[in-house]
Amino acid sequence: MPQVVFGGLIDGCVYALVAVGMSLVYSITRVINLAQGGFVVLAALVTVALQQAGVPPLLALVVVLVGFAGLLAGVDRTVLRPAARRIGNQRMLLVTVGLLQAISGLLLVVWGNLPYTGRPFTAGPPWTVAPGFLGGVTVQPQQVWIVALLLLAVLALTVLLRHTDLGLTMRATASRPDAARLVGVDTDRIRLIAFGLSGAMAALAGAAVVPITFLQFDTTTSYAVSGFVAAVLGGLGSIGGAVLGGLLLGVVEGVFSRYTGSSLAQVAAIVLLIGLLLVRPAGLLGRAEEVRR
Amino acid sequence: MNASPRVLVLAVVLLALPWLTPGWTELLVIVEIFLLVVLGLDVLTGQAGQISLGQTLFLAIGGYGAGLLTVRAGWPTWLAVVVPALVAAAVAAVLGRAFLRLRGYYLALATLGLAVVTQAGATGLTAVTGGPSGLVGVPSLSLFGLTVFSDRANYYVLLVLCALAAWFTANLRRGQTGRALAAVEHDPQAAAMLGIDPARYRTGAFVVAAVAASVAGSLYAYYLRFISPDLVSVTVALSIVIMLALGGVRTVVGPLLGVALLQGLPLVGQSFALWQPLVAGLVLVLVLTYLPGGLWGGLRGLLGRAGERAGVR
Amino acid sequence: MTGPDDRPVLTAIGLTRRFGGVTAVDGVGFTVAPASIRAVIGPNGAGKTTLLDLITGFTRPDAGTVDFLGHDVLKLPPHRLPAIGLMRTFQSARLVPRLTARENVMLGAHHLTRSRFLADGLRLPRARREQRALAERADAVLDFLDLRRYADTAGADLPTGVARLLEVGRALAGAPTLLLLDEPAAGLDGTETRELAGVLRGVAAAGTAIVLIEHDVELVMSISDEVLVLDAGAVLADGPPAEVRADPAVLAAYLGSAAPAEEAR
Repeated sequence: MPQVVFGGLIDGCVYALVAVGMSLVYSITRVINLAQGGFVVLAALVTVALQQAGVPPLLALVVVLVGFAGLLAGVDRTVLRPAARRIGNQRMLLVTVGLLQAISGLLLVVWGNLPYTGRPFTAGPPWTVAPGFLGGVTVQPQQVWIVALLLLAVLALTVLLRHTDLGLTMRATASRPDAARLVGVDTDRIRLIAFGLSGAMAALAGAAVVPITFLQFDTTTSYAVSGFVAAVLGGLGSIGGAVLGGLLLGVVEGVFSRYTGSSLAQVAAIVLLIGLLLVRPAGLLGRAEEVRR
Repeated sequence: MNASPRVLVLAVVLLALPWLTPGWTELLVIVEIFLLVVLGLDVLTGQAGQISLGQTLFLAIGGYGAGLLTVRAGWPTWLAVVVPALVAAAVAAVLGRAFLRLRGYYLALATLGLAVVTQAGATGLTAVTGGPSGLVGVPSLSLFGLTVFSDRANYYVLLVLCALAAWFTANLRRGQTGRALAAVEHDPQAAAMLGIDPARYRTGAFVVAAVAASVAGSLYAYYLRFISPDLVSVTVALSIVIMLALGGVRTVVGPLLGVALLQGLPLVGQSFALWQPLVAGLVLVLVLTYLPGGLWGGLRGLLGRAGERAGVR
Repeated sequence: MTGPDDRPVLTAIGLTRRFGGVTAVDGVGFTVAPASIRAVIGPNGAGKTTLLDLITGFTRPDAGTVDFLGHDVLKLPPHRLPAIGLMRTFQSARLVPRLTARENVMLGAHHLTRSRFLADGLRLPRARREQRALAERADAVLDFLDLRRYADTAGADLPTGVARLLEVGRALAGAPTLLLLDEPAAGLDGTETRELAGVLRGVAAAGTAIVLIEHDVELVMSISDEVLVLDAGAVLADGPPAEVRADPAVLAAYLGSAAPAEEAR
């Protein structure tokens, strides 16, 4: 049982990274970027390709991190921002569905339909923690990396948002976009930064998870859904909420999969979450008035 | 007066189509199945303005319902279409009441949840659904003692169903129900002040969409003679929405264009099948951004402008 | 003056609504006599629109009751109100842009129709009869407003003045006993405003009572039977136009500035 909860928490950390990226973009643009799930898998497969080309895993992580920050800023500049100028948020959601589909398509063209996995960031044997307690927990070094990267990312974002001028501007833009524009904030630049950060989150999630799982072109949808669910569960636009939502989703799925098999665990998780959404529509840390009509 | 010759020509073309395009009948049948789903969804999305990313739930109720009732319980095939459709209607009525109060993203999420639940349920409930390999040995549809087995027979049965669905949804659009749905889409508060209960109309539209998807699912199972999780996956759920957005809402031609494009593209060539998801995704992004009325809306605008110019001369 | 039954169609008592620390509507009570025009005036933020929102159930009051022809209106959801004879318009025109003017007016009589999804989708004879009756009713309203030439124009393409008038017409198509109008003259020019005044007098004469929220003091004074003056959510004065106009409190608080005093003379 502790092993199951631990495994769920690790999955949850990955969901949290995806959800934080979505939540950041949502808070600035009010658009849920479902394509985030696609970028996660794309980042993972690019990482694998770099590793296969002989780049050390940690260097590959840095390259992908920087590359995807630029890539998402570019995607916003060329695709999403022009679209947002012309159409409403409901249609924008479908635009991101189209983008998600296009990324899956790109993966299929470049990598085919085979599953890929990568090398862990650092080699080393797994070790067992608290073997006396219900069999204890076996920990892989890569799982420690995942937890560490999530903590680091959240810490960095918190410092950025709470303790820098740029963060202040971003928070102001998030809460009152029109007012921010009136006082001379370059909201397009803020958008670009938000997308850049979300690209970095996608890179972290993809590069960190690919050593402990198998990914292929159609796993994009499941990351999109999990990230979306986690972001909404925590309350859209809240970083802490996204992390909490991701961890909760991971644990619920993990515990259920112990008893029902993994696909029914997903059913249980989704049903629970939809139920929660109907009872507490604002998510765990969100405000209520935005949800219902 | 001038509409009836056009309808007649259209009817003749549609009836002759399987003979005009030999070898394409299989594609035509699949297009019809998804056209039925998308025509139903158009009532919900096009007329009532509500997104549903989870139409595969109803496709699955129809498909697995028909499969199980015929294979396990030996019901007549027509009854195994009707009963799941009623179940789908009931499920949509209950879910609609709960879900359609949610705003944009939350509704999208909840319906996307339905799609995930559907795929995972079809895969995981092995005892009922046959698991990942699906339910095999589904019989063909039997009507009045005739077995609808061949591609052409399936084409004609589905042609009738699609024509009925097109007629029904066009009637809705032109009738008071369509006006009420338009009012609900545009401004639920003002609609309420006109005596229109927004929740009831949204739910009604959801039920129509569910019944269409369920019937389509049943016929899908009878045509393929099996039903499996791949046919009701999240990817299929998204592609249903893509078909509608691509073609354009509140018409019959729009959904037809969207479905034909998405289903027909992979057949352009073996090598193209690999590129299809990428191209479809990019086309969707472009159409959503630059053609508010979808492909058909854009095309009509173009034809209209050309016509005007011709008229001026 | 309107027949044997002079009991008010609407009686509001002690309506109160607070938003945070602000009391938007503070213990407001008033009555509306049958087939009369009852105006509600007051400076911006006096609580006029909130008052309408309270009566039509868009906002829940913290205290107070509203009786309409024996119905406890506050217990009914908004969509049930037209069926008991209560309709309203909004401060900004809310016509459906993709429907024509005629179709928009047809929506006003929605509560008089019975065909829904099945009857409409299958074009049952009942639905077709209803459809014809609705179209005729809408055309009659368009004729009454002298707007027949706009019948087939899309809501999105109508000039502002026409759209405002049509919104009143849409509510009239539902044959209400009481019509609540939220600033129907906003955005109208002088000619259109006079036209509207004539329409409203005709509507009242035909037996429909009207609650009129309005900025245009001249319009209010010329057509109302009774005027309720709100200030900061509370009733400042209540009575026939001549009385209200002479009320020192009103003169001081509301008509105090030069321009409205000019109009009031």
